[in-house]
Amino acid sequence: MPGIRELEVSQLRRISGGASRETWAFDATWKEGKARAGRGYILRRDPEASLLETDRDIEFRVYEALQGSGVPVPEVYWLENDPQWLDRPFFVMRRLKGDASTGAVIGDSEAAAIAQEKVEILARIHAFDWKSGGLETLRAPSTAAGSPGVEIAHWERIMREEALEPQPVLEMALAWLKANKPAPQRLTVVHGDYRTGNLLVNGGKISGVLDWEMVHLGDPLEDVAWVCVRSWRWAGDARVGGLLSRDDFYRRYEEASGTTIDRDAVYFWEVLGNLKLATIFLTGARSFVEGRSKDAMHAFTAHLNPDIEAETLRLITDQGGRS
Amino acid sequence: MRPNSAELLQGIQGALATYILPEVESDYAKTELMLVQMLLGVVVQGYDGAAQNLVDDNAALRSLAGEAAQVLMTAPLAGSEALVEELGQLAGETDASVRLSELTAANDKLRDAIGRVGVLLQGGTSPEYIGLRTVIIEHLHRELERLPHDMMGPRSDG
Repeated sequence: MPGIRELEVSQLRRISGGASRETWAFDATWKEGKARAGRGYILRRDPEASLLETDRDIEFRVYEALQGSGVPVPEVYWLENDPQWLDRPFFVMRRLKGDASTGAVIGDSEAAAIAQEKVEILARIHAFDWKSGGLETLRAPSTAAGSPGVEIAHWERIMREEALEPQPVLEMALAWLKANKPAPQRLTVVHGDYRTGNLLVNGGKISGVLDWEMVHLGDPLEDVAWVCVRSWRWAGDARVGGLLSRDDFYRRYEEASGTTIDRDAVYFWEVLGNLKLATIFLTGARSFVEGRSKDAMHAFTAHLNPDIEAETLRLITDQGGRS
Repeated sequence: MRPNSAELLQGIQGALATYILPEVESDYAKTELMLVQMLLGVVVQGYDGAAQNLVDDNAALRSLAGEAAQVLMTAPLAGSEALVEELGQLAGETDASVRLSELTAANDKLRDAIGRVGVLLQGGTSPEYIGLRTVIIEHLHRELERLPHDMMGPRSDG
């Protein structure tokens, strides 16, 4: 910040959430000329251990690339890869107004409008021109058709590296996935964790899409299926993301994206979504058991896996003769 | 000696809620503390039945291993020969102690083998294979039912 004086940092506090990086909020004020200016910031610092090993440069670059795209993301300011300043690398971005907590979002009086906006923003992410947007280096298959295989291999590798004990349910899910790969037609930006809980809402509108740690290029239906994963049905009923029915979600996405959803493909990606979620939690469990993490969240999330595994078994058996 | 382990953990939960939580100011630390309390609850819930659950599960898995060996011996699949021998051996084992570490080690071996049978059966269309796959999935469901549920709150299928 050249040309500023009397910089003061206050209200530094850690915020819960974010699968792979510590999130800290702080305020800063400074003197610029004769006037005093200020702003709220978010600092995302690499953790000692996390639910997921991800590349901070990618997350930072995606935030940069999406500025002005119609996908609401915070403005990013600084990326520091040198650990000498805060022990670990970090980046800093603008703190947007809003609340991402699931209770606040699904209980909002404007929940119906938020649901519609959620669908439209997802379609915008998938329509983003990643080639001219400088995102060719995201993890990607060589062709759209290769994306199921790439994602299966990615999560299988992590599962095998991180599991502390045999995982018969996940092994059977992998076998099912390998036998039921769809043939995607489109290669788009995939957020990878697009769900209620990662959407900042302010005044009945989505003010920010957060947590791009798992962004990659792939089949957009992967995101569509992730929205539908059982674990995100926060309202306790069948509404996906706690906001709208699955059929309604499909219809609105088709309208917003101008594409037709292949239901069988979404089914595949939903099985993969459950495998992925269980694997993320296995990663946290390992870091906790090995003492690399002291975060109780990493121990807690491992206890969410029985529900995810039960859902996975249901999906790979209850599927109209596709076993 | 009283209080026993479960009673001690419940007491610690109470002390955290009564004396520590109200003193904590940071929202992040409050969340961590509440997670710790929930984890203590998980330990208490599983404490009394921990060994018996493993003994029961190992017995059921051994029976399943024997059934799988029988099916795969009668109707072999590519690569099932070595697995049949391993399953037969596992089916004949017994638990030598009720130490959790030893019961868990045996359980891991059995679950690993049953998982490999499940993978082998993927796509198998004969009634024997479909039947065995169904029995395996039913067993895995029963295992999951014994573990903590709905920790994210209630969810709806479909």
